Amino acid sequence: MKAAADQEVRRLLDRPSWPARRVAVWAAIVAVLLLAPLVVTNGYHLTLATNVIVTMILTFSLNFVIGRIGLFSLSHAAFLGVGGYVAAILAQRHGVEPWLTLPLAMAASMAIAGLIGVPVLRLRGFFLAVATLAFTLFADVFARQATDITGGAYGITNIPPLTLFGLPLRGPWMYEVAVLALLLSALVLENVRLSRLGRAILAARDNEAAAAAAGIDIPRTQLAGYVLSAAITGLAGWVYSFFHLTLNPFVLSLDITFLWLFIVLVGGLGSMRGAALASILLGVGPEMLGFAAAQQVLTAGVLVLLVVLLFPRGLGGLVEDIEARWRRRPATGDG
Amino acid sequence: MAEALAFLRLVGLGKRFGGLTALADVDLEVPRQEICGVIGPNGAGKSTLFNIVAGAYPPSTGEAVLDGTRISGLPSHKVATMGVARAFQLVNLFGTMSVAENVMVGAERHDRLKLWQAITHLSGFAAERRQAAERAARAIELVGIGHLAPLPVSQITYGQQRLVATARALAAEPRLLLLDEPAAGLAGPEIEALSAAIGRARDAGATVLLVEHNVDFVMRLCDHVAVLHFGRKIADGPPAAVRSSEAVIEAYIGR
Repeated sequence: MKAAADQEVRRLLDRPSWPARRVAVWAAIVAVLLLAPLVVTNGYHLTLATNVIVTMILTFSLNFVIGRIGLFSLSHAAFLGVGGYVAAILAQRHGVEPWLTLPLAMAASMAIAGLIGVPVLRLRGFFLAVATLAFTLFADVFARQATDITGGAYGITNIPPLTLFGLPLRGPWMYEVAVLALLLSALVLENVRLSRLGRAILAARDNEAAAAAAGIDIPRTQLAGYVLSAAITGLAGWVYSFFHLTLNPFVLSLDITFLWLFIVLVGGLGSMRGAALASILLGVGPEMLGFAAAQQVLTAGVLVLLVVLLFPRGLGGLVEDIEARWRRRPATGDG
Repeated sequence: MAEALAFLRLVGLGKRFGGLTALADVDLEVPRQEICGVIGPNGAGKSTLFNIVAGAYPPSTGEAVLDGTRISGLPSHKVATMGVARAFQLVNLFGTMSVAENVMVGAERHDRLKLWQAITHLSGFAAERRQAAERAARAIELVGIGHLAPLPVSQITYGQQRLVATARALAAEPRLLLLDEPAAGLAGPEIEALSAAIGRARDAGATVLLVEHNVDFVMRLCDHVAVLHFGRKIADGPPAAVRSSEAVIEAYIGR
């Protein structure tokens, strides 16, 4: 009797991270995404899809920082800019092999995150938001003013495309690269969530005193999560540069930062599914309705209000509730 | 002088907060695998003593030495990785996790980050998780909350939450277990389960320092009791001797 209960607890805590069901669901989603260009042949739709996928990579990573680590940080546009510009400048100005710029772009984003993370992550809440936003503003000004390095307001154009077996990767092929980058990002974040480090990150968010008493070095743990998130954002910037083959300070504008923040809020804090749904909704919705880019932020703002009022746990929470009802058992989330 | 030094030694420990002296010149020796209780009226300095040993803040004077290594003044997480586990007076659970996950965080070794292992689930990931899950399961069984394991901690009673906090500390299989009022808010049978769990943790090798208001609980469980009053130690010895000490009776009942 006692041994049976003991076994039950062990099973609860030592579950395989990737049971067959989860592998099957992920494989199905990835297969659909990879095969989509066979059906979606319209170039405009593919561009839209690629942009949504880059947005997903970014919002997964931002959601990890805001929802899981619990740090209200607005510096991700800068990390994306660093990754994108490092890739673009090295490939276009210095003739570096485009594939080789991938590790360099990610490393640059990580280095910047480490550099600003050490002083800034001591701050909490509103102060952290302001400090990280200031850094994004600085990156924006730098990209516009340091014309010799960044090309100023016009940015970097004529970036050489990635090549595979001598063939340039454009259009649908860059879409496939974006899907693979999304898969890699989602796998890394999901694995971290299911690891000891993931539990430590959540523990530090839930209760700092108890986390420290359990031996968790909170500043180090949170910095590691922040730098990891910057690496993934740098990857998104790298994909962006080689998809559009041009890069300008638009990616560093506050509109974009707030659009991403709204997507995370609409999706629901900590929910990857929610962030994916919100990225599609806010990435595709306004375009399909024929809104201009500036109205995208407005639409997003209205959606945030609706979500906060109607489903406080975001689209992710909504999906969870529906699933729970489907299985006829109460949801585990706490309101 | 004793041949072997005590496992936990507090030497001239004192703490001032501004003009308030919360703790003054406290010496205490806790031998290995002993259960030592610290009691005293409200405001006697029990929690201050506890917080210093756990690394919540440094002492103003004196030091705390664990097995020959000074631990006072080190940050909490460093103290924890040296084999000290703590259960708080205010329960302090991880509010969005289940009972099992709370105890799992206590069972896991957090001294190294192992980012690569977290990303890939390789290089010892499965073995480390299995070992931690076993420690957590043992601790959950020890305090008798196996039936609560899958529940979110927000859905259990206050008394049960206290037991979870104790299980989380036990799961680390610590060398020194610090329990801040572990029996507060517990019903009779829960107190029995708790006493048994603490006794078994001691048998498994832990030294226990606990602060408690429930004098009966302390007298029955502890090998050794120290009494604080206005920040000073006024008695220290086996429960029976402390119970009959004039100074203690005076502190508790008044003249």
